[in-house]
Amino acid sequence: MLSADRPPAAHQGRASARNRKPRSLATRLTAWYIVSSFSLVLVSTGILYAALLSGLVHQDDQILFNKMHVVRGLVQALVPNDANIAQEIGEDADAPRQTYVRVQTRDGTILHESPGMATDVHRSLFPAPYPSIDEAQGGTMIWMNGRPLRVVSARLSSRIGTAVPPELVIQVATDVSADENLLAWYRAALIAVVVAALLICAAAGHQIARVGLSPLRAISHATGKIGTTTLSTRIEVDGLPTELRELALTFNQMLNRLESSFSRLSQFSDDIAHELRTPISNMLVATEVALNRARTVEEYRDILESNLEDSAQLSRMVQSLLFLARADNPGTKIDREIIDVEHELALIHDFYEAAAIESGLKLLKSCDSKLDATVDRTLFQRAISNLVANAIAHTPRGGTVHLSGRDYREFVLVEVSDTGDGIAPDHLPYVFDRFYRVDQTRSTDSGHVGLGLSIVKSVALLHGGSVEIDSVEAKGTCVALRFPKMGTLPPQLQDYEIVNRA
Amino acid sequence: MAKLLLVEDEERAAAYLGTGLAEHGFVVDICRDGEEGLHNALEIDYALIILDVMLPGRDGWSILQEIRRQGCHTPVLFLSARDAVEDRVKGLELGGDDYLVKPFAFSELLARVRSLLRRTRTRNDDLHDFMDLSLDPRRHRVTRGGKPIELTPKEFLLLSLMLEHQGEVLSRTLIAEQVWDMNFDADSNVVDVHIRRLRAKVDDPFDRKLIHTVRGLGYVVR
Repeated sequence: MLSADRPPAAHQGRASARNRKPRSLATRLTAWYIVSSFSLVLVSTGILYAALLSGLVHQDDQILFNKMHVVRGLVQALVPNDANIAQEIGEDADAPRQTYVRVQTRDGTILHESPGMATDVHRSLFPAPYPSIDEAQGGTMIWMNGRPLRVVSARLSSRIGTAVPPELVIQVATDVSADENLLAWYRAALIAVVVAALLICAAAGHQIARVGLSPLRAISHATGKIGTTTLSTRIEVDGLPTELRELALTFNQMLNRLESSFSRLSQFSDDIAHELRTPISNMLVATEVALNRARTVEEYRDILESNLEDSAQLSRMVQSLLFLARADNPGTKIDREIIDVEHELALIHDFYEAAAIESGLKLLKSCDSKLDATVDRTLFQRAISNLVANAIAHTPRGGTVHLSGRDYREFVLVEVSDTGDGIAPDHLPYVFDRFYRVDQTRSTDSGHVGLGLSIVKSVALLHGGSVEIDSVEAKGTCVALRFPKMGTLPPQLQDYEIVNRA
Repeated sequence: MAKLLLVEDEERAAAYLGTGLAEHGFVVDICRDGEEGLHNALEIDYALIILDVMLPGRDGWSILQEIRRQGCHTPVLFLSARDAVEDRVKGLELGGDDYLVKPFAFSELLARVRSLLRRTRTRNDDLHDFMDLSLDPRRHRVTRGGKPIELTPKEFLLLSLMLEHQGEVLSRTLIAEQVWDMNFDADSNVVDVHIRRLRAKVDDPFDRKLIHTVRGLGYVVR
């Protein structure tokens, strides 16, 4: 959606980075799952391998050191027995795990040597000897004739505790092919495990993402099916995970608002069509009948005059509707000027007083003096006049209509109250709705189509003010309009008023 | 006889407005597009120019700007299908003299045309008398056939408006605007009530009726 809107040139660089091809949530979740669980497998197999390796090395070194200690004991015996030494160093030479021992003087004369050692483990392959057996740290890996061997060498004295520097060197080697085979096998097993783990992780990750996201798909599926004719559909909230429940609830609330606006809109179109139908059909029929045969000039004049009245009514209605439509637009500007409220109310009073007297009513006016308001004067007149005309029309003879203007905190409060019929409580919430008429059967002869109070409300809202209605049946009605005095009302309070009083 | 220029692209509207104005004693030139309108406005000395805002070629705003730039001060009346406050303000700021929103009543247009033409002329005090009815604006006195008639201040204003425009049909909207300063399409029934009360004093006691109703349009003194 976003990528369809071409971003302004200045942001093109950044925007193009944002416009990367979107990856699905499931793909991302799967990838993260694979990466994390696979790393875990990799690390643990690595540790296991390292542990095994170090265990084997330790074991080999033990063999080497044991051998060195035993041979040292034999070499340093009070009465060295060459036969014993030969047996000792030859005993493991044929075992599956061959261990070789060589004892030589520092100048290279070999004193003792395991059989086959001369060819199997050349003495030059040994690392430099440790200063003594007790100081030996560990063996070294070497390869001889394709065979892995672990070797160690150390200096050795032929006498215990002698001050003479050790004159002998002992070299020990052990065949570690078995270890190497074990390690090779272990490596192969680990690789197999890792590959298997990779596959399992991928499958599991995919499945987890699929199952985890399935409620989201359900929501998307449900919303995808909602159209203008199925606006009453709601997303099933029960059984959704907590995080998505919130989303679904928000979505359902949006659908509620959409549905109610939509039904109001279509009701509104119905009403417009209905209200337009009467004058149009009057004009059509009158004109058709008139053209049916020749008529006198007076007859033609009469028909034209009747058409004129109908067109005038249509024109007024269109203008009212246009006004309401414009007022709904949040960008609509009004032409504010400072007016003297007392003077304006006096004009309206003078204008309507004659009509009130003819209807047998008293039209009273009271107003705080020096009360200024910053309003669109035409709209102000229009709103108050609508209220006064309504009050006069719905108050029986002998009643009173009171028009008052007051300074009320940060508002100019204009009230129109009457001692008329009042409005039933079940109608009261709807009287500001367009085309809403308390008396549904009343005709449009008087030119009133039920837009008057909607216009009053729109005027109030356009000024950042509010309108309230209070009515008791058979007692009377009072409509209060508040216009904020500009400059004294902080903007956030204006918003507050608009939102809360609308 | 005043010569008017009407620049209006819609054929039927141009035809009936032209006919209507001609029947009320004006000479009307009709242009159907903006360039032609501008050309005529600059070439010919008109008493008043009626400009539609939406025109092919060149719109009404631009015609007005151009003729004002060339130093022509002929009054201009705008006709427009748009009545946002900004449009009205724009029209007046550019130097337009009045602004009428479609749909409008022909009587309304006529009244505004006459009012704009009158602005340049001096007011005729003689117009406050009609047949045996006499209105003295300075002493606030009305007599008919020599007999004084008591009027409220607003009734006096209403009668003097009708006498100033004797022979012209005044719409209810115009009456509400001029007498009560009600600047919106006010409740027309209320104007009827005022006229009825004025008639009771000015016409009812006499055989010859002076105030006449023109159905669908308004009222006239003749």
